[in-house]
Amino acid sequence: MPDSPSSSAPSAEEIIASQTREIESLRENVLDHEDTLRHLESQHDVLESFCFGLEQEHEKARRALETTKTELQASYDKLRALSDEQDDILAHVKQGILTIGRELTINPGYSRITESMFERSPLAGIPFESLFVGDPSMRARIRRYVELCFAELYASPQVLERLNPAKECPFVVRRANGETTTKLFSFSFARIKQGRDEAARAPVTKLMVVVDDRTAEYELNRELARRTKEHAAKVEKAYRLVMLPPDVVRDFISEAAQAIDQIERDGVTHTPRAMQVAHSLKGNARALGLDDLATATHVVEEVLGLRETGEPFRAALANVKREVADGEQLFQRMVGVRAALRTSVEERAHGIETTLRNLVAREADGSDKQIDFEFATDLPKGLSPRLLLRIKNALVQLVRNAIAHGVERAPDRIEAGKSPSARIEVSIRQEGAMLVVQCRDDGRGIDTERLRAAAVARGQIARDAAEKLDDAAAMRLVFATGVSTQSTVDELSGRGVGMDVVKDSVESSGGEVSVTSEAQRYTLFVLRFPHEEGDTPHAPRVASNERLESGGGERTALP
Amino acid sequence: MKVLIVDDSALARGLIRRTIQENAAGRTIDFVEAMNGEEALARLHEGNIDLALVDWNMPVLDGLAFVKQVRGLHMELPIVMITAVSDEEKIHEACLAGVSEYLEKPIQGPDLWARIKGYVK
Repeated sequence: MPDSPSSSAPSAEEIIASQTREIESLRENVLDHEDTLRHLESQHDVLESFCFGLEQEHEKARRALETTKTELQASYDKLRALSDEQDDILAHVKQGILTIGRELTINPGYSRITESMFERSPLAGIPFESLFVGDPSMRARIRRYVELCFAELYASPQVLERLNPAKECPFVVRRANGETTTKLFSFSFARIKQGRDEAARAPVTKLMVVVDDRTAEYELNRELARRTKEHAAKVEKAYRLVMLPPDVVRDFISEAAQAIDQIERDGVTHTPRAMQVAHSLKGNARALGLDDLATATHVVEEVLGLRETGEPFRAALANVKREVADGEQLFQRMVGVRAALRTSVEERAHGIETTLRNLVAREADGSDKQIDFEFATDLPKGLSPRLLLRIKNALVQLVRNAIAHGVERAPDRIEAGKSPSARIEVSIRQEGAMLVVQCRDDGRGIDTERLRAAAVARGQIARDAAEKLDDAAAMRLVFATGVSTQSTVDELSGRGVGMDVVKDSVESSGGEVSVTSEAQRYTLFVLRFPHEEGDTPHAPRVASNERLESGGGERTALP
Repeated sequence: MKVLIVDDSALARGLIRRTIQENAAGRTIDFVEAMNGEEALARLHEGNIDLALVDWNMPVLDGLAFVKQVRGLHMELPIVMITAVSDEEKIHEACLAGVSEYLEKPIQGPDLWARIKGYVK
């Protein structure tokens, strides 16, 4: 039997069929690849557009970054400026300013002055309450208060302010050398919250503390309180004096002065006698209700009893003297007060009198001149206040001059055979249409020779002219402008401050001035004013030489 | 506005009410009163209270406990504590509990008004 051709060798058809299948398969493959390629191509496109997008995004991001960087720099600069400004403020502000953090310690930024207020450096990092070195209970209160301030609260700032334990706080400063001083500080606290949002219950991030040094103010107030008390005591004393008859007071004051002299003299040498005198002075003072004087005298007695005749005795006696002097001064003022209750012209006259008496007391005090001052007046009604003021001002000058240059020191007077007390007499009287004002002292008189020399020295007058002047004319040189100024001339002439002013004042109101004097006996100034100020003066009168007469007014002498 | 007055003393409640009435002329104010903290909480829950004035020492539920409960419920109304307690630490305690204002007894009309007028609308 023969082999089939198909089993021995493939027939052409078979080959073709096989190749066709292969071709088919290849074609399918190609198609597949083409598909893949297309797919890949489209994928590529997608990727490509994605990449483009990415690039754009990237560019955008880069630009955004750039902007952010610029903004950041600007913010940083602004912050820097703010911080510099804050540093500036803290360096220059005159108040203590600091902040406390939530840990209740002091933050690093505080005003420069704060360290010197607390005399402590540095302050940063220390617990705030530890500043209060002087007072443990205050430390505890401050701590509690600061804790409260940091809490979330419904309470208003006013409530916290009321609870502030250090509104006015004695503050002990302890120095490095161990010394302490107490100041008076005023602390105020403000709660600082996060952000600008002032929401009532936002958490408090820090407390700002402002410190004011009130020490000076406090001391001023204390001084004021002390003075007020002192003043009240004086008023009390015045009240007691005013309740007493003037004669009693006058007598008492002079007795007290004698007693003080005696205590001073006998304190060391005859202590028991001095004690007796002190004891009786104390009793009298007590009887008159002058308790301060009684107390001061009691101290003298005690000191003498202990034989403390040195410094303690002198100090105690000085207190007594001061009390008596105070009393005397008050009494003098009351003389003025009593006078003020009279009619208006009298009132003004006594205004003049009081002024002059005070002047004499003041000027003679501390000098070794003793002066009896007399004042007499019968002022008519209806004088203008201006005229009275002129009279007063003129008399102030005249009396001051008399004290400074007219009357001698007590030892000089004794040596010259005079009484140790000098006398200054002032009178104001009406004489027809004129008011005659006189001021007389019994001092050394005006030395016309020296007056001539002084006027020549000042170029006021030629030497030969000066020599030709008679004594009365020479004496008028005392009113010359140049002669009346400053001490060099004073020393030469022994006269003159303000005399030209007196003369001008009198003459400008239509009046006239004159002066007479006798060496070693007296000097008398006479001023004549027209009754009504501004009136034309009446016929000029010859300068009066007359002595002071005791007028119709009352005469009083200084005790 | 509606004001809640919490005090176990009728006298004190009357004084507080009159003080507000006299000073708040021209404003319409309703008063609600309670004898203790517990009653006060009940009144509060009935609603519309704008301001509470509370005594500290009261039976049943005292003022401090009342304030703590109110704040625990996140109620924001202003509460004024009126108290004979003047001890600083106690007042701190009241502030920490959430009082808006405090006033020491005995009640003086002008002082009371000065402290609360900011809350009276």
